Amino acid sequence: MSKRRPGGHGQSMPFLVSYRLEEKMCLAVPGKVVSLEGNGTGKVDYLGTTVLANLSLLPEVKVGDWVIVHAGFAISRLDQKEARRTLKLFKELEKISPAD
Amino acid sequence: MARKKPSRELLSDWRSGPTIRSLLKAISVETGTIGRPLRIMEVCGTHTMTLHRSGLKPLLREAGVAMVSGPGCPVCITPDYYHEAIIDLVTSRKNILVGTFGDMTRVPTARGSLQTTVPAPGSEIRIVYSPEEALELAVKNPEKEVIFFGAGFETTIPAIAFTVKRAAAENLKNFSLLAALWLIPPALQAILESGEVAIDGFIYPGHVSVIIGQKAYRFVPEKFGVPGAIAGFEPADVLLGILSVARQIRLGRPEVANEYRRVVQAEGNPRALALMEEMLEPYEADWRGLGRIKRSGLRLKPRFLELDAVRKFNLQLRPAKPLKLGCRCGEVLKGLIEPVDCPLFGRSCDPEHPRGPCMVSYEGACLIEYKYSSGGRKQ
Repeated sequence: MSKRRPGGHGQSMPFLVSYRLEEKMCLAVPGKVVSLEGNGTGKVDYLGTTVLANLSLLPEVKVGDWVIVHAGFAISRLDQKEARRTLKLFKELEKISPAD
Repeated sequence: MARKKPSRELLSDWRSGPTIRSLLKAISVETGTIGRPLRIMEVCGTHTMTLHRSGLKPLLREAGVAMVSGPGCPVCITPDYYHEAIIDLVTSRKNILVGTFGDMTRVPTARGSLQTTVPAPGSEIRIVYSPEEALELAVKNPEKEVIFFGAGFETTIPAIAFTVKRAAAENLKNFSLLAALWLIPPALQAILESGEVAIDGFIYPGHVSVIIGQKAYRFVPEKFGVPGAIAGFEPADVLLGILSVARQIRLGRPEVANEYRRVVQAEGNPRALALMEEMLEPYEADWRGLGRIKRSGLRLKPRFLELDAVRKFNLQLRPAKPLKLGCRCGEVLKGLIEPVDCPLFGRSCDPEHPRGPCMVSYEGACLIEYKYSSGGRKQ
């Protein structure tokens, strides 16, 4: 496996360090699939940190996709179109319901 | 097809100040129209963390919404006797290697914690980040019996099911699973049926929903008339979920809204669901605080019993006498009390010396409250 792993409930390190590792998983900072490594695995880049993840639960995943990884497994793809749609909705809301 | 590069806005705009403020405003307009404050349960501990860390709780209160924490912390709801059974085993038998998630090792029980216990010669406890890592330990240590002590909700269960399936396929004889696997919808049903907490709506856990999809919660509006929304974990995500719930209340049209569409599909993750169905079966599980709930836990199907640590080592999973006098984790998990209402909170119970699992887990309401509210003092 890789040098660093995404999240997990890791706690072998001092409190704050492991807490930050933990945040990565729970908040599910999305990672980008940068390569497929065979056996249903692939490398996922989290803003600079690359980890090996099991992609078996997302059979259709491709290099370039953004995924949510939990306990070493990619469990969902991040749909960028939907993300942009929600962000657009926020912008509209800011116009309709401005916080004065 | 040229793929558009995802810009950083896709990761950062969920915390933008103007967005947060306009969402809060829209929520207060809804509660103003409804004419009473709302009580909404955030089921998932990670949502609890978002609410505290971003300072949203008091702002929501001003907007007429009181947030109540729910049972969404697998470490918290796993009864002590799971830990005690595995501690008994690892202290009495040689060459047992227990792999488990980090915060599981710190849960204090009448027999100590996995972190403080002294294993028998050749036995040890290892923190792993993924169930597959435990399986790799079994491959690398053929002379040892490797047990993966896995606690989790639907988010984690497919990873565990996959790992057990791999162990079966590879005919690995020295690997087994102690399953503490819990299902969210039956727990919500139990909370609604008990009627102990008045809840106007639910914020459903985003990453549990990734696996189970929208329809798993349909009974909530249909049977109980209670609104709800699936939400992501950024501040704006949670507020969007709350706004959706408030809107459903104002319109009198409870439903299961999906406000985390960039990640959650209506049907969930079919591959993961099929894997769970293949490997596991539901049973009446015992939750800390909530007690026994029908079909609320998953265990290995009979044909995988060789991989079941309970069977393999004859583990005694039985409720012991309640020994943690004063710890009110169970009531916190049901949303009956706030962490600060517990007499131990911030006094004899803190993250360094936790008296119960709600102060241990990163998703535990007590730990989160302690970390983000001036060292646990009541405000």
